[in-house]
Amino acid sequence: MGKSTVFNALTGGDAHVANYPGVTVEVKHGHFRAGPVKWVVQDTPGIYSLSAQTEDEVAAEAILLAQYPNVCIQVVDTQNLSRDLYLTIELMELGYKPTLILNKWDIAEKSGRAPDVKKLEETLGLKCIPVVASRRVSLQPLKDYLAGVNPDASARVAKAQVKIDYGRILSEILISAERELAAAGGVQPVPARFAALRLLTCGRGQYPGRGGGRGRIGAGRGRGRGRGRGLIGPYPACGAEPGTGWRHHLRVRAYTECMSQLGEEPVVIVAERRHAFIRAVLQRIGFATGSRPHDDTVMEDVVAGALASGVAAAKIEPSITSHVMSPPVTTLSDRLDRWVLHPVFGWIVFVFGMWLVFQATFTLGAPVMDLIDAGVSWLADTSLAALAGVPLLASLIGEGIIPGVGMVLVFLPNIFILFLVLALLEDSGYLARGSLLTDGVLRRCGVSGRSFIPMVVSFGCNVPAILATRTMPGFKDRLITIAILPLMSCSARMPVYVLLIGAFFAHAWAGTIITLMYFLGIVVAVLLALLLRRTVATGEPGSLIIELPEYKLPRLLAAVKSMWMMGKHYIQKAGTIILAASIVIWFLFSFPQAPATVVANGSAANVAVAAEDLSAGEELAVGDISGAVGSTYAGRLGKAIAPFFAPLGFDWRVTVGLIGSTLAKEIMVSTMGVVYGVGDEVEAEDETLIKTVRTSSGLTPLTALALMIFVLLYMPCLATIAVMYRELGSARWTLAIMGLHFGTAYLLAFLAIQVGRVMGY
Amino acid sequence: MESNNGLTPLAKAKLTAPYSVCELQGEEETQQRLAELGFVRGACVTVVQRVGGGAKVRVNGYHLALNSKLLNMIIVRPFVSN
Repeated sequence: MGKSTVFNALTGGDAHVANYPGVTVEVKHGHFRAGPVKWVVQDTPGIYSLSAQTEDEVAAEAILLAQYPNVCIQVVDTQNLSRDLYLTIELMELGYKPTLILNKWDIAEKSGRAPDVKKLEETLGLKCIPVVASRRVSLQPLKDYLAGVNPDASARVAKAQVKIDYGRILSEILISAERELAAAGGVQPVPARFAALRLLTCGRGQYPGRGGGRGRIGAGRGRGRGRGRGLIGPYPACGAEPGTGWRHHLRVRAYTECMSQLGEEPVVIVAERRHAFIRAVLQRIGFATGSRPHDDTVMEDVVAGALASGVAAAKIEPSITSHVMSPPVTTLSDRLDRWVLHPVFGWIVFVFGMWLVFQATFTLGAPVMDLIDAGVSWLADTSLAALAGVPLLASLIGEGIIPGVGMVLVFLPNIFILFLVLALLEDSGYLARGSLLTDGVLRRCGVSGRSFIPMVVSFGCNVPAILATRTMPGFKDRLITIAILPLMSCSARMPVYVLLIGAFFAHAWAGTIITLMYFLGIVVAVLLALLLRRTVATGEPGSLIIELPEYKLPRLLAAVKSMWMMGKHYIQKAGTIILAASIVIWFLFSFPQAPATVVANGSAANVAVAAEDLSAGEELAVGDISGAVGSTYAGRLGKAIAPFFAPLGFDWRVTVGLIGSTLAKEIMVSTMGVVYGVGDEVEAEDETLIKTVRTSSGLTPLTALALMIFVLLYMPCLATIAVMYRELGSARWTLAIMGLHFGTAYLLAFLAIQVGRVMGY
Repeated sequence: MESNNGLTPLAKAKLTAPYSVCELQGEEETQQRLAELGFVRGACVTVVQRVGGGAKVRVNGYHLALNSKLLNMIIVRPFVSN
């Protein structure tokens, strides 16, 4: 769309994200200065129309309905005027006079699809500003225009800015609706016609409303059901519940009369008439639309109606008969798609592409990870030394906070590279193709191609993946997708695999076992999706309607910005949950304080193990340090819960690690470091920790495998749980999903143990 | 393949041939979304490429991915230029 590009160019990237009150979708805010006036710019989620069906569309709609901005800017793809003017028409009916940014003007001009700006402005009565999208967007014309805008004026009034003729039948019903609404009162801030249209076309409830039904499954979709979203602001007359008097009667009347006399539903007639109006406008400005109505009896009437209504006093000639059909052009994208969407070759491209993404994530990230790791260790050592006089504080900062937060920061390169690659893929137009390519397979698994992008993102981090489900229509599809996303093995689970594989398996097996873990996550996800589809979220996955933009070379700068928007959740996580968790864990592992002798022995054990003198010092020393941890709160907690995990072969020390890693999976590694007495600034490849875990954890290769399976599945991290709860708006569903994950993890780990024992391991 | 009046669901349309939309079927919400995106009576649509059960479709001058259920909801007939 280029909306974000315009936003960034206008605000100079000075954006902060705010949660819009009442909706969970984040809305970007930014500022820019024009002369003495400081403007606040809001970037709404992208929409094609004002009939919201997804969470982010609801947010955009809520903003447009609730606010009275000085300027309303609609970024329009100049090559797709006939599609994008649809929203313009709706905005004008809502009382807006949007300023149209004609984006990609240069491309449209080159292909001969650029309209006459003056004529377009005259016809619609709107300010239109052509903008070149390639490379840097120059928004000088827009800035100049904004400098002249009266900061006290509103771009929105209570009067419709366009009057579309909806035909005799619908018009009569609309007039009745307007009259009834006026009598009922309370439609003042919205043009009467807009309110009437909403009443007749917006009363369904496929998506459970936020007001009462949010988080509940299976809200009715019968005609006349209220949407009940409880949208903020002056949002009139759309709480039409079934059987609520005149509202219901008007809806039924509109439906039966439109069906019997025109053979189509009111919603379709409304869209048809608006499109006919757009066609007339485009023909007026000498713009070929590439399609024409065949049903002349109806359509002549439509266009004549639109003409009679008169837009901004412009006279539009009904040039309906002189139509030109656009020749079937085969674009470069079409030619590329023959391969990219090919039933065989397309999948080869897909699998190879995904492999490349993960390869890049882990190999390119490694050097930076090592650097950060070294930095964290240095910082921890330095602070320990600097605060040597205050042992408790030194321990808190040097052994608790810095290593805990550092543990998460080490994975930042992975996360950011993954998001950068994903952003580049999205910008190129490939991810939309991925949705179409995988739709058939995903449908057999109980979800649709719409879940594809969140699932890919989930391999990086579950949190932004769950946020990405906001573009999905239908609560059931969203519920299933959110339920299975944490089963995709995120990058934070990697260090646990690396540690355990290093300790118990031959190096040659590492790749295979890690790949198996990823596959296991996917298989369990599929089974869980199918289970939910058969039980609570019955029905078919929702339909797939996704725009396939033309391929283009991705822009690095835009991708970096997008990477930042997605990846910053990870940094926020490090600064909040992980920070708090580090302090809590440090406390649990430090108190009550062990007797001094044990601590001293523990230090000796470190030296002994590090010197690889395992035969002599290991038994006694590790036993001692475990004793030290064992007397702390963490140790007591671990011992109390340990019997529950005994069937899986995990002792209390592993249990302590599992408790720690509910906060974030990476914590498993650092917690085990503390438990096994090699200090808590360890990383997964740490030779000392690997040796200690191998010789004294009480784990065997078999139980280690069971532990990996368990860590993969048992529980999403705290940040994921929080986002899950926020997005589903239901504690019940969040707990149910967590229960399912935990049960599955326990069962599979137990099965792995049993099968392994039978096989003689 | 094509029934009387040449009416056929878009799912059974010939590749790359122009068709015009005659009717939308299915749930009201889906019909509304399709109509808003340009699948209105008389609009020229073309199936550019089939992908599994779904397809890449050109309508209103741009491309959309639609799954097979939607393709069956859009009833078209061969586009006749006059």
